[in-house]
Amino acid sequence: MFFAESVKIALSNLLLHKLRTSLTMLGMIFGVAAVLSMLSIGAGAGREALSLIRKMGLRNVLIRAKAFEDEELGIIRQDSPGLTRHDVQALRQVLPAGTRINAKKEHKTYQIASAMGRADSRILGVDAGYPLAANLELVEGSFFLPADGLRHHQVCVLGKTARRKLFGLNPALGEPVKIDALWFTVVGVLADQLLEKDEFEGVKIESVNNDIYVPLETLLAKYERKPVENELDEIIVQLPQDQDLSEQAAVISGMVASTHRNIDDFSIVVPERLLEQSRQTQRIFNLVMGAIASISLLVGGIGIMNIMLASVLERTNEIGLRRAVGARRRDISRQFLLEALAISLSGAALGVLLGSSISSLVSTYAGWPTTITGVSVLLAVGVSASVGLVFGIYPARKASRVSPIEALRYE
Amino acid sequence: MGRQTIHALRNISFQVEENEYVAIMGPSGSGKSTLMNVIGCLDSPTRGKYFLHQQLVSAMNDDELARVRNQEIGFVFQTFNLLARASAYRNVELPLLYSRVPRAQRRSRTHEILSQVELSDRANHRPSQLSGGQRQRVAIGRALVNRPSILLADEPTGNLDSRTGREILNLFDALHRKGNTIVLVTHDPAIAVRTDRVIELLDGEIRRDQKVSARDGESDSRS
Repeated sequence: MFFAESVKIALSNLLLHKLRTSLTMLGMIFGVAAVLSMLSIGAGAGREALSLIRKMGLRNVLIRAKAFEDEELGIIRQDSPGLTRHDVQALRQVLPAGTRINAKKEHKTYQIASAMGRADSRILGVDAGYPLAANLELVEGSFFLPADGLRHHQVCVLGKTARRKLFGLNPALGEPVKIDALWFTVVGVLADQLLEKDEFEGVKIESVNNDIYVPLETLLAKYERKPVENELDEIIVQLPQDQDLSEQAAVISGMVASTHRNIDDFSIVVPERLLEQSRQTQRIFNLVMGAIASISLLVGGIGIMNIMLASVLERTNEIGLRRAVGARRRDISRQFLLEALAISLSGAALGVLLGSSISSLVSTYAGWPTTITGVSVLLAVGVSASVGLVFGIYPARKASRVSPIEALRYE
Repeated sequence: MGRQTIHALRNISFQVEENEYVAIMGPSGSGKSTLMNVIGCLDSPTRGKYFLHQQLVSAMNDDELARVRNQEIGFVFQTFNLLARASAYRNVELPLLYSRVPRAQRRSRTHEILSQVELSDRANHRPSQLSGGQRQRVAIGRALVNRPSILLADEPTGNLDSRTGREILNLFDALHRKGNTIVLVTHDPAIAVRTDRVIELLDGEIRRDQKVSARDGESDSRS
């Protein structure tokens, strides 16, 4: 009850000096807004990183063929056959049971067309188990089967965008699509992939919306390719839960290096390591930004202390009077402390508003994803409350030490 | 030379009875203010004892002194010392906040006091919207609101014109008749003569302490 009264008194005192209070509050507002928007940008980036890496598969190890000029490839091919199905076979033999291995090959086309439209999609030859390895979902039909590959069936699965370009709103399942000179039958359509970026920590991640998938065996058998080209672009190794990724990545690397006769024409990507790397980056980002934002909170706190000291001087007479009618020292110090807290907390509240608008502006105009988490709001408010408390204590103590006799004489 | 301790008061010994109306007089520098601070529990004597209602005030700590000021003493100052930004109601209510009186009780008590000092219609006015006499009545209301043992007034008419000053003194008389104990500090013999007893200070000592006999009911007849 008495506490409520003290809060009321503190607030009404602040309202008496609106300009002064709001100027003092500015420091807190900017500090909290800075902390909050930095944290939200960091959290947004972190969340995006996580979803990108999930896309690559946290239990996956990717073996990718490196890109070279044709002349260089010619020289490399004298020693190394490049990434081939032979590598897949070799890996099957050394990797533990339960490991899934998928291969992928892109085919460069000059035309993709249906009865209704054209598309500029990538044509990817993959194994039947690929959707599991790459986290793909289907909305129409189903993915092709291992048998389709073995029998070199000309079937395909369309990404969302490819489907739209080729068939618009018309049914696509069972319809023919012409890829270069060959006709393929649509057996499935993929769900929309919401990735906005196609690169993470410098590693390419494929957006599948515009892709068309055909059985790898069909692609390799029916289309010609340059003799120096890799037979495969990528091998995706999905390891069982109980296997250590780094250990197996080393095994894979050694195996592929031996079949490639130690020619460095492939790279190994471990998404889990990328995740670790991104967390590290984010920690540093948060630390640096947090430190910068804390400086403005510190300045805000000093502003509060300054104004509270001025207020103590200005209200000496009031302090004396309150003491004369029965206020204890701690009643006086509580009153001043509550005022300091009220400034910092209302500053924090406004700062949360400002920070949220900054972060939504950032995501609108800079295109960065931002996430305001409850933790970051609590952190910002908690820190500003402690700033208010720390910088309010000295003026409050000073106020409580004012001698009532002196204070009443003070006019 | 070094610092020298000045004894503002020496050999002071007197007793005030309940419902007594006492004036403390003396020229400036005579120790009036110090005596008043001691009586008002704002200051503790370096030596000597001060009993208020059988409580040894001079041995109390700061918190206990605050409680005594809140419960037992009602201050009225020459310069009113009202909270400038608060309404008359808020000013009168103030001591009740520090004695943690529940809200409903606070409200009824404050209104009761405001009507007693004839300011019910001014409850929401700020000091700046009130006349000097009204301000001093707000201050008296504030002093009375906790039913103190002593009403302690320091030159209560010093900042008022003589007509308003008389009004305030009549109010004191009325409060005295209702049973309040009043200690009034003044340098004006015309005011002192309205009281029961005058204590005269000089150089920190009591020069004279005597009952006022020739009152002739002049306080009632607006001399």
